[in-house]
Amino acid sequence: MKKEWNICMAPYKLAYSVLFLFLFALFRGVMLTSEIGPALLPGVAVLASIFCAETSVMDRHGQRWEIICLKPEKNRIRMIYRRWILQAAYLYGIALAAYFAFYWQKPYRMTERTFASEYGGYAAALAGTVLFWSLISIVVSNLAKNQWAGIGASVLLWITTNSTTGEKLFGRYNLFAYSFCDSMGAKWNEWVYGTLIQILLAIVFLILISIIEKRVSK
Amino acid sequence: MSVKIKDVTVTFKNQVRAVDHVSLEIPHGVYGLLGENGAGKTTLMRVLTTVLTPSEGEVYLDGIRYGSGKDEAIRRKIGYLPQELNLYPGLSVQDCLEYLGELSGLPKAECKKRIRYYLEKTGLMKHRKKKMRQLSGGMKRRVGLIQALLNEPEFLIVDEPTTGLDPEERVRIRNLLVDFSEGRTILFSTHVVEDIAATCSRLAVMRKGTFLYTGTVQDLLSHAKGKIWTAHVKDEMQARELERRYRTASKQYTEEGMTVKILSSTRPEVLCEQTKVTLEDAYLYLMAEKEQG
Repeated sequence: MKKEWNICMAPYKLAYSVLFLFLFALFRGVMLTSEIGPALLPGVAVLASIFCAETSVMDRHGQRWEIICLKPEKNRIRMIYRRWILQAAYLYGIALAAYFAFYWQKPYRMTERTFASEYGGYAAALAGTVLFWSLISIVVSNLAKNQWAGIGASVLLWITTNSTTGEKLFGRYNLFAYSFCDSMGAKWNEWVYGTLIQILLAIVFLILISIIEKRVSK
Repeated sequence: MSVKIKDVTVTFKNQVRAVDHVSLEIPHGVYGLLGENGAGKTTLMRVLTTVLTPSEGEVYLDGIRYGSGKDEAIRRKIGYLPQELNLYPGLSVQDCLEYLGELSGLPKAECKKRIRYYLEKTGLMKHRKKKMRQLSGGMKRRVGLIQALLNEPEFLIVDEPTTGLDPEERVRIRNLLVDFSEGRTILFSTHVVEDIAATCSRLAVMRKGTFLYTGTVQDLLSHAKGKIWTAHVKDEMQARELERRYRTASKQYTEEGMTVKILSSTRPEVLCEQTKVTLEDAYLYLMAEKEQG
């Protein structure tokens, strides 16, 4: 895993990911603690898409593809999964930490929910977000053999779903249902449906990665 | 280990025919593939490594036909050093080779043992902890050669491994290829005739996607024997006149003036003498002959 870390966690990627979330916490205003998670999640989605886009195509752009494609198919697939797990775990970790960066704004708690409940809800929604947005980027990049296609497709989907139109269209099944949920209302936990959709789609993407790699072998 | 190429053609989507109905049987040892830039050498090599599927024709490796659903078995027998290879810049030499070895499916202990062996053979042992980006071009090429050899391939394909290297590194790479040719087939592509002369007894000459010649180096030299002449002239003007009238291979300044090497099947109408044929002369003569049709 140490070698995979050196390969896919370049210093510039670590720098921009931390800087992005730090700046997000600096400039994105929140008044309530219940607003932190919903504010942070769309940013994490974009970050995950960009961060992971090159996972399966970096060897193509890095002029290594001609030797990598000679390696056994199952080892190549395992390599992509390992890289993805590493990156997803890292993003999940820094996004969990970034939650606390918002506290410099001294937000106050208006709901009766405890910190554990708010943070736990954020952690659960975050898991779906990181899984979905990292994997969709990898799949599209791999299909198009171009990381910018992965980023572009993800951004388009992000714009569609992270909008008032998207909110009206998809309701509680929106990928950003957690961000749109009314934290003070009775149905505040309906965002779970959106997160479940993300997780289900993420599983489909994981299978697709394997199918695409097998297609490459042929 | 037998490699058979039967009437292979590669036509790209833009209708460019990079390889045009070529057939070849590659025997054991180091086999040269000589040709100018754009001749189709790299495209042919990509077909042999299964990276590219030919538009027409068949390729066999040890009797196994490419594209018959056994490509994984074929890839296990191949080692490839491409012309452009950028191994992971942030990894050390040791880590990079271990990573690629494990990706090949080699057990860790065996992988380390082979890496150690090849690092010693290539003189890179003391550089094994250096990052790939810290290495010189020649060292990177040697690491590239090691990664191609890690799975002990029976068929090693090296695409212009000496391009851009200084003379010392070129000789080192060539000698390594000869050393590693024991018990395997090596296809060595280059556009530098000297490389072929130093390493191969058999070669194919490729131009615009077709083979102009396949056979032994000796036969190619014999073909041009008696057709290479050296003329001595006083100055550049006379040399240019010769270049205008005849096909020339080279010209050189000497103490007395200039010498010009002429390629001609008949004695040129100038004061000249027959010269011993080098492989470069024979290659240029072959090219001239084909151009004249």
